[in-house]
Amino acid sequence: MHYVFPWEKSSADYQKEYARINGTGALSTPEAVRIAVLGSSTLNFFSQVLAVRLFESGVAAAVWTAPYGQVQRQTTDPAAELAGFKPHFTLVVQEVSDALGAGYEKELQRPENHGELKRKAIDYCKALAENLSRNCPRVLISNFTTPATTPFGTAEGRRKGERRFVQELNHALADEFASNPAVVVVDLDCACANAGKIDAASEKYRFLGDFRLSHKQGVMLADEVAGVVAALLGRARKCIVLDLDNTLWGGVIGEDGLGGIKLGQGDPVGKAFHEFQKELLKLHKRGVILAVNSRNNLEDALEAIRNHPEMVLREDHFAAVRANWLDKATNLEALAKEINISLDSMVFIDDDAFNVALVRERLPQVASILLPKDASAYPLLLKTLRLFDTTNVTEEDLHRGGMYAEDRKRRESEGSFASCEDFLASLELEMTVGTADSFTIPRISQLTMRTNQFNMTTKRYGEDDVARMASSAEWRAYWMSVKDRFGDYGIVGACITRIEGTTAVVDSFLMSCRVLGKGIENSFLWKVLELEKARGAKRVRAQALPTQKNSAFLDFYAKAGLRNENENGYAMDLAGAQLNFPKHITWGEKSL
Amino acid sequence: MKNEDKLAEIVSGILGTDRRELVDSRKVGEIPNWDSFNNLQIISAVEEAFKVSFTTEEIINAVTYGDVKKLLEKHGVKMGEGRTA
Repeated sequence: MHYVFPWEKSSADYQKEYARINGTGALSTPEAVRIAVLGSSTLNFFSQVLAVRLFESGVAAAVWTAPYGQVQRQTTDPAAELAGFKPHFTLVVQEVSDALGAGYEKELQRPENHGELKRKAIDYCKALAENLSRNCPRVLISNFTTPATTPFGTAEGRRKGERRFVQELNHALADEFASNPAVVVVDLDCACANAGKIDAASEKYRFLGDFRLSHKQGVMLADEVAGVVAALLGRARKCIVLDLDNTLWGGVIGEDGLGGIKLGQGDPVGKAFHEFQKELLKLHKRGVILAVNSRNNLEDALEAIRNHPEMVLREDHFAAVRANWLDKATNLEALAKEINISLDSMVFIDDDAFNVALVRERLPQVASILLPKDASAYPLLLKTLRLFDTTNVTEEDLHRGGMYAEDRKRRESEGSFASCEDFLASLELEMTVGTADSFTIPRISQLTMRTNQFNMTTKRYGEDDVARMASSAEWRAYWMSVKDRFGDYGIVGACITRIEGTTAVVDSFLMSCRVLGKGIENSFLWKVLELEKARGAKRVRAQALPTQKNSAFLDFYAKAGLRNENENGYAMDLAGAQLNFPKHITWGEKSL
Repeated sequence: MKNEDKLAEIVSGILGTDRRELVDSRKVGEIPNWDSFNNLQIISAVEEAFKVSFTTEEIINAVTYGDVKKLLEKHGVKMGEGRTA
């Protein structure tokens, strides 16, 4: 099936799909994520769309819609159903009248009231978020929909009517919660605008059943929410694997040659491919890894990538290039190994139905997209694909793309050394360890959310959790950064400890897979243990909890020399412990 | 597929109800799972599928399953034919 934009599918399609998924029982297992949806309009159908969209991105979620118009009761009454549902996420779809009361329009008529009304609305949202946070770890509140029309017409800008008021309120709301990581503001206004705020066909449903979101608006909002939820669950995708012919350019390079492929100005189809590449570059610059998986001769592929004047993406943008005649599933597995990320964090994009079907069959954990027939749809597809959301964009995100290209150069240089030791020594590795502060908390949280493989306990922590630990006496949150002569990896490791009497308990220990195999993991552990010893720990306890993803690293503590005490538990006495720091790693100036 | 069957498929798909429950004379509220929420879902799905648009009054006045069929007929969708929308 060629890719269909989610909002192009009919409401009947979603209902059928929801009934099908629900019928399999997947949404009612104890593992399913529980999401509560509250609002003062009819949102039952939206909830179904949300469940479907989440399921399509690999998240089984039970979405419960609170009885109509019960935002206040559900959030303040401990006997209300919301408390019993025990949601992992609570979403409130807000309206201005919720925050300001039904008569607000009259008060808004006087622009001099706007400042006070804005404060009142923000206070309402703060209280709402606080109430919800008591029973739910993650609160999502929507912003407000700016009205599509205004009685003032063109004079709205001068008159400062309701539209201006809501715009300013939305900015204030975003600012208010920007520094509060426990609450995510979902852009309802943008979702509604993208879908179209004026839709004659859905007007009657407002009067018949108080549906205030049109079908399309519901889908747009669902995508917005699904993106946040996947990000908070650590299920966001990290890498796009691209075909070349008829994906990055029009035509077949091996047959049409450099001058024959369609790419760039002078041709409408060529422009579409060019813009598609530009959108890929934007994602690359915000931290999405790019790779190539093409059935081509490597020389032909590289010739186009290196020498076509209109190519936007060059060799340095790709973490790895596989151009050969192997099947694409085999290549994807090799790419996952080479880049060191798991298959379920990959998105595979191809124009060929056979390749996509093959990958879907053999590697269902990869999100495979069969491009639409018309290249003009490619850029929009990429722009609306909400698979790469993160709750915050960190410094590491902005440099990740370049880091993977550096990795490729490291791998290329590895071959030229006689021994592994020589290679490691040649890297000039420098490591820095520190404890969490306001600059590093977002990245530590992000690492706990994103890291699945080298992650000993796979506990996910929000920025607020890490901040709490950083300011507590018992807890400590460490970060670790590495650089070498090829470049700076940034913060790639985190460790969270808790002191219990004279025992240091390692709550979390995790590292990005990119830096494994260089002795860094041991060095980091030893440094943490040394620091724990310095704060009075005589003994350390740690756990290696198996998940589907971390099996390859579960023996880490045993290999490091900790005693296996019980099934998943490890321990070590720190008094006479030999902390064998690898010699090829030096410590950064600012390291603890 | 006959429009009659297409309608039954849409409705039973949304309700998760056996097609044999869809009897013309039956009030929609008596058909399993057909509540006020599903009612609007069904109406909008039917409008979408057959490319028709009912008025608010027509929707309120459609009381039985047969009424829904009649409404479609009124908007030019013949139940016995296989017009694909």
